[in-house]
Amino acid sequence: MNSRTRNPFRSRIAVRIGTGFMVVLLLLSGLTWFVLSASSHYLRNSVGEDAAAVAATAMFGLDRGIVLKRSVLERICQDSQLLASVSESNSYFETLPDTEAYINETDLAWRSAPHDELTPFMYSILNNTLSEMLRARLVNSHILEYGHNLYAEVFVTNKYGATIAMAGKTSDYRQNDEVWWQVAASNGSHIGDVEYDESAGTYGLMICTRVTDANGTMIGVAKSVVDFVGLVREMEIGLLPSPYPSREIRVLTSDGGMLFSSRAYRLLEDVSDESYFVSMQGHSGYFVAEMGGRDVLFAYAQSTGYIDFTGFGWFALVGYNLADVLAPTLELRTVTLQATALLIVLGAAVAYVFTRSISRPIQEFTVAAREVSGGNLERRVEVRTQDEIGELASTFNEMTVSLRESKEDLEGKIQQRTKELDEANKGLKASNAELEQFAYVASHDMQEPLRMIRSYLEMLSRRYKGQLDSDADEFIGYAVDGVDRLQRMIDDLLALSRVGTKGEPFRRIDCNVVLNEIISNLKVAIETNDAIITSDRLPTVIGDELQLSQLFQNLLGNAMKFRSEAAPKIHVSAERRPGEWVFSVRDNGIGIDPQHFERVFVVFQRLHSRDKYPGTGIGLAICRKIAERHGGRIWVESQPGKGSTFYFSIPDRRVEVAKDERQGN
Amino acid sequence: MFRVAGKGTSRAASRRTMALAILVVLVAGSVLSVEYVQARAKDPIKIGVILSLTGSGASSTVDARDALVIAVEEINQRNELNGRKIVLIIRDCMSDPDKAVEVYGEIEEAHHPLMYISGMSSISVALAPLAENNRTPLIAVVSSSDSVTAGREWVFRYYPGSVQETVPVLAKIDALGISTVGFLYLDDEYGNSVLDAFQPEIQSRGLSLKTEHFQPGATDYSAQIQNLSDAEAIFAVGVVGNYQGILAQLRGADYSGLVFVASGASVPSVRSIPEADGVFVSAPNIYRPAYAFSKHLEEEFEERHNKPLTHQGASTYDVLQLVSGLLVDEVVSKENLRDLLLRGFVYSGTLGDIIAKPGTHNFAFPLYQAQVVNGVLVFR
Repeated sequence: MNSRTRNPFRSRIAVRIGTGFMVVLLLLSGLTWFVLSASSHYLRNSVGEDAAAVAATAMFGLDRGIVLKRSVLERICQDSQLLASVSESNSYFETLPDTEAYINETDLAWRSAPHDELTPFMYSILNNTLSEMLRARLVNSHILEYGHNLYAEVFVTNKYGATIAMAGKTSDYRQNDEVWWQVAASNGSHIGDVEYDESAGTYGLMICTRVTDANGTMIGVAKSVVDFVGLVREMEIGLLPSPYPSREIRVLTSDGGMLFSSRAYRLLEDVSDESYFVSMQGHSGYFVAEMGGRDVLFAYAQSTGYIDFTGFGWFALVGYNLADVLAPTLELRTVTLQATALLIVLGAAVAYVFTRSISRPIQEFTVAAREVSGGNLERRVEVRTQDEIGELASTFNEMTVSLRESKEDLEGKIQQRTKELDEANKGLKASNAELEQFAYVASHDMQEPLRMIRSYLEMLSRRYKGQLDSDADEFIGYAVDGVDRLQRMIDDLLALSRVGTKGEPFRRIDCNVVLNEIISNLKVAIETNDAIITSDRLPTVIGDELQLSQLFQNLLGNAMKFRSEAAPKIHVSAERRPGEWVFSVRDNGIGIDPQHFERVFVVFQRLHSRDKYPGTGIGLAICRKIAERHGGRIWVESQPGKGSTFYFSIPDRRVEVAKDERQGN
Repeated sequence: MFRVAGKGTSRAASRRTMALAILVVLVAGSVLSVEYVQARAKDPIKIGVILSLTGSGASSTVDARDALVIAVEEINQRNELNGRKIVLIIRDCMSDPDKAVEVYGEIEEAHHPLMYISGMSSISVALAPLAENNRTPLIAVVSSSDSVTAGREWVFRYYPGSVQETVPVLAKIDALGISTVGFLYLDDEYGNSVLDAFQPEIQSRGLSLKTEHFQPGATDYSAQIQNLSDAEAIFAVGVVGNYQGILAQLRGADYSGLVFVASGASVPSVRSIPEADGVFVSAPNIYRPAYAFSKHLEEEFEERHNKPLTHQGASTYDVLQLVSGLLVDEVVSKENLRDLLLRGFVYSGTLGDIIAKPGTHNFAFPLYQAQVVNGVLVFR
């Protein structure tokens, strides 16, 4: 992969660090949120339990207050004045001829009187000593002490159920036809649930007690109607300590009648359908219900009575705005959110600076490394810190210094070697030129004396043949033969030297034409050897036509010379390879041992005796020199007995030549 | 992979980081602002308040305004009106009924409040027709005159009436067997209403009654006192600002009879003067030494305003608490508020329990006879 292409599936260090930071922050935020939620839950439960205890206290206070009011009435009923008055009344009633008739008659007159009027009889009762005492000890004393009238009604009957004393006007005279009277008379006391009391003209709690004499004999009944609202006020239910300003206290009957609320309310209003009433399960508990558009944490406790008073199953509820209860955690949440936001911003800034402190040096290293790789070994990075990055920067700078020194050293050595090679090359060129010149001159200049030697030898042979002894003729023959061989060697050497020195300029050559001319030139040898030469379509190349002809001729000639017993079959082909053409000449001759593949191209190297395969041993050396002059090479692949294939390559310069031709070069 | 970081990619990374930071800040900001937006989402409940903050009646009703401020803060803190807050539109009518009418019109035009609170009988009587015409509840405080609510459908009163002012006085007169009574009163709606309640009772008892009046803002009562000096007892009725002068001038005139004053004189600023010692006064529970039900308000009021709580302030505080309590989980409308008031209710206020029977327009806290002893009210 190209190192400079961005992989979209990988992120940069800065992004990775930033992402890691965000993940950590999110985890921390999640943990904080969990802790806050758990705190809220705990706080709600804790406050709920405390509020339930407050509700239980309120309920207990009410039950106890009711019992205390009964005790107050019982104490009044033990007052000697009251006992005397009741006994006196009973005594009087005992003297009546028909007590029941008297009571009925009086009761009828009582009830017949206008509601807001007092008859003289009523007035007499209302202002008798016992009534004064009832008002003084119960009604007025309470008003003076507490500032409100707790007793909506107080009166006493004799044992016949006739009213004998009253703090205020009662609705009727006969009382023993009432259930409360009968219960109190028989059981000793009676406490009735809150209801509208006709006599009192208000909602009250009926508290009745039996009046007994010293012998424990029932002599009458006392009844008080306790104003429930006043009772709640006296018990200071609404003043129970509250941790929250939103605190609300309610007292409900068991069937959902509103008895009291610290807010404005309607007495005995039915709230049994309200969610907070429906939510109450069991005797005590707490829950959250919606009221007034906000969530309220309600705690409740049901009446359990006091002493022998079993209670009416009322519920006391204490409600706090849930928002007030959870205010600490809400405030904490707000602060935490703000802190988290601030932390995120600061963290992002810190992460940015931190990642910059890491990524920027890396980026600088990257840029510096690119410049160094581009050859600028003077590049240095600034060492800003003493940490690992600073150490890396120092190491990087040391590396570039080392690289520069190595480069300078290497360049010095290269220059030295190049100079040495240039000098050696110059020597070699000079030597090679001298050698070629020598070979050319030698071969050229030696021809004349050689021709002269040969002429004189032929003259000697013609003139003195048979005149000398047989040995002389034989020796002259050897000499002529030696001269012939020497002549051929000189010719070949001359040809070899001319490849480098007398070559023609390269031009476009159709190798098919060249091959056909060679085949035509070798017609005699072909026929003599019954050789078959075939070829593929050969390319047009840029080269020296004469030398290429010689190359083909040498290879074809060798193919026929080193033939096997079978008739030579020679195939010429060419293959296009990148930038060059590779020609091949394949035969079915005797083949070459691979160990001699290089040797066959060395001048004067022979693999066989001259007697078996005549020749000078220069042909393939000429071929190699021709191939090399054309910028190519030559090689052979062969196995003994399986023929040989000679390859030579010629660079494909047609494109370059065509370009040059277009440019008019 | 090795990636070449050029300036361009570095800037891009910076932009991404910055964008992420901005996004996070925006999200956090959004979360934090939700509560604020929600709080602003609901319209407040406006209540018009027309009080005599200056002028002759200011001594009686400035405390009413100061207590209202506390009440509205507590109510709004409870947040029990479906998220709606109460906003008071408080205006000074300068103890002038005509000015009160003018102010009413201004408030009505600008705010269309759910209801009004007015102070002092003369002011409340002047505003009552407007409440009727606008069909907007008006609750009168520091207003004892029965004329405030008489024959009205939209006007209510949260204060003891004229009759209640006289009951403790009459009880004491009866108890002490007084035969001649002087009645010194402020010649305004309030004073005349008490006279109307007191006079028949005195006459029905066969007692002698001599009356003298003074005008609002009066400071010299010497002539009236001189005319009443032969009465066994003098019952003085005025606004708070009158009582110090009346008592001082009574003592200055060496009046030897019993002195009764109406509930307005039960406030600490009056009863604390030496001349108040021994005076009988119709007093509310709030001044009982051990009275606990107004304790939190007393402390808050004193701390907030650096003066003792008065029953004028406490009653106005109770009015707002009453209205708030009635409106919980109810439709907030003028008609419904009126219906809720007329339906009858029980309210345990700082001054006592108000048990309002259905149909009544007058909600009165109790008054009891008390006597000033060394600046302290002794209920007897």
